[in-house]
Amino acid sequence: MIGVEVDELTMSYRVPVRDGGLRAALGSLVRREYRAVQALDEVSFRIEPGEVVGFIGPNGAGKTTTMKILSGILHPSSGRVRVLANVPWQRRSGFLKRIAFVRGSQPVGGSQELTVMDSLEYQRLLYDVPRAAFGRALTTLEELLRLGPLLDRQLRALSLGERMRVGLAMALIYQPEVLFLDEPTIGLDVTAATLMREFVSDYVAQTGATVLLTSHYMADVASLCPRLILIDHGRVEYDGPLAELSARLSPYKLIRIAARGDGDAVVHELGEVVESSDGLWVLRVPRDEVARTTSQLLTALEVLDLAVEEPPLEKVIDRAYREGLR
Amino acid sequence: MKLLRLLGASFSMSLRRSVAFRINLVFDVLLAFAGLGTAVAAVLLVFTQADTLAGWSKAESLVLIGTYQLITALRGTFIDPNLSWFPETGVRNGKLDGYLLQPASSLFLASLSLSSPLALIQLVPGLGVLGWGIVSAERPPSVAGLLGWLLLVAAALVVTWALSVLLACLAFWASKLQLDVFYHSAWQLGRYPTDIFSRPLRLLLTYVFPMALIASVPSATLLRGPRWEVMVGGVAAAGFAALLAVTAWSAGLRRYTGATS
Repeated sequence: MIGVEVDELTMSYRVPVRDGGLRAALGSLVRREYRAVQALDEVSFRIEPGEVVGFIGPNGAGKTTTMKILSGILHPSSGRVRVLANVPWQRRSGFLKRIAFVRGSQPVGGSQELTVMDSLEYQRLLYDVPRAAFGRALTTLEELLRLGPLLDRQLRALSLGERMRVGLAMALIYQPEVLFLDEPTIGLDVTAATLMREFVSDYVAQTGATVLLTSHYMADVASLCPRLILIDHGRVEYDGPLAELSARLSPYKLIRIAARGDGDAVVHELGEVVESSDGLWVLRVPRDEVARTTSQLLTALEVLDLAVEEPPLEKVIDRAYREGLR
Repeated sequence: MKLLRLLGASFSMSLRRSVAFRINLVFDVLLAFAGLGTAVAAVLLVFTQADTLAGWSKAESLVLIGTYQLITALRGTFIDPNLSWFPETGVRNGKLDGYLLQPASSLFLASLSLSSPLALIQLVPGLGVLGWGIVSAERPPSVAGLLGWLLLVAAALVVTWALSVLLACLAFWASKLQLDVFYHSAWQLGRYPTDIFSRPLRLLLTYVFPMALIASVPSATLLRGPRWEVMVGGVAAAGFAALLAVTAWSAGLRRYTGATS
């Protein structure tokens, strides 16, 4: 069974539009004009069980809309979608117990005056989790998410990082097989974001869950997702390994070199120097010339250290957003 | 069964939450007595000048006020905490998205999963006035009258719930439309016998916005005895209203384009 199957998924809706000014506002009372917004345009992809896929794109690209359709919140305009062999928007109870949709912007819903434990208990009842399984899952989550000190606190008194940990615990207490994570590290400090990434990685390793993750933080994507789907203007622009996207968008690699003596002339001869200071240089070299250039550098200079690096992911993705891939 | 368990759990959690607010408790009690006190005072004032009010005796009027208060208390406890200001709290703030992800009826979760147990305090004065009306009646209600009253109160609660759902559903078509103020004003008409209104308004309150069913019809049944056509009509109205609410909710969800991200 395929985890997530999406074929020619399209979502469009109409929004009222009018020019600025009182006259146009009054005119719109009589004759209203609409513009069709194409949120998704024949999006297709598949995710196998156990895969962790990064779903990235600029703001308004259609990421959250896709996730809402996959989790059953929205009905699409057209297209075929199956998640764990279910049509999501039919919202069958059995299906909803097997998926979770966690949003970094709203990690914990429900009454904010309740304690974390009360909220988890309600989840147990809602998702029909047997008491023994609930106890086991809680013990694991307590350990992985450091939940212990939070259990008796009210939701409204939690910090953003704590709310995210509790949001994940509430979503995972029923052990879903498919996880939709929408910006799970948004607003978190470095430590909290790292904890979150480690947790997701551990959860996937332990349960074999399928994960679709959106994030504007490339550290999330780089550390968790071997595969990327890049979406822009409602269309899939790229679907494949992260390294391949990087190679496609940036035909260069960076060689970082530290050498004894004056190697300035040699270094400038062998490649484009993008940084230099006190015996340290960074060269931008075409990918197919990396081996030859490295060899020449090692021969010509007394090398103290040398590293070949991919260009920063942020820059690659930024270029994809700005210039597109077509 | 699961829905009942959820309702019980939610009520218990709401109770835990609300006992933390003792000042709210005091004000809820004061408000309940003040609201009911003014309604009873107005009726008693009328009965110092006349023996009946549009055919309703003093005892019947008290039963009506008590029944109205009872249904208002139940509405305030189980329905209002969910559907009041739904366009804002449910749709724009994304609460509905959360309900749609949960493995239970979204209509149940959105319309009944929260409760406000303190509002049940309004039941106490309501039952007091109801008892006062029954004791003041010329003859006590028959068993059939009592059963008919219970059935019609249940029907009234279903109609009340369905009206709230239908109003909330407007948010799917006109997200800025907020008719709660209108609804709460119209609700106040339920505390008077519908016979005091002019014919067009009476027809409106019976068939279009059935406030008559909320208190007038059950109260008349309690003291005057059940009439089969009224009983059948009440149950049919409840069934029709519930069906309409479920249909509107399903149609609304198909139109729903989600809260903003």
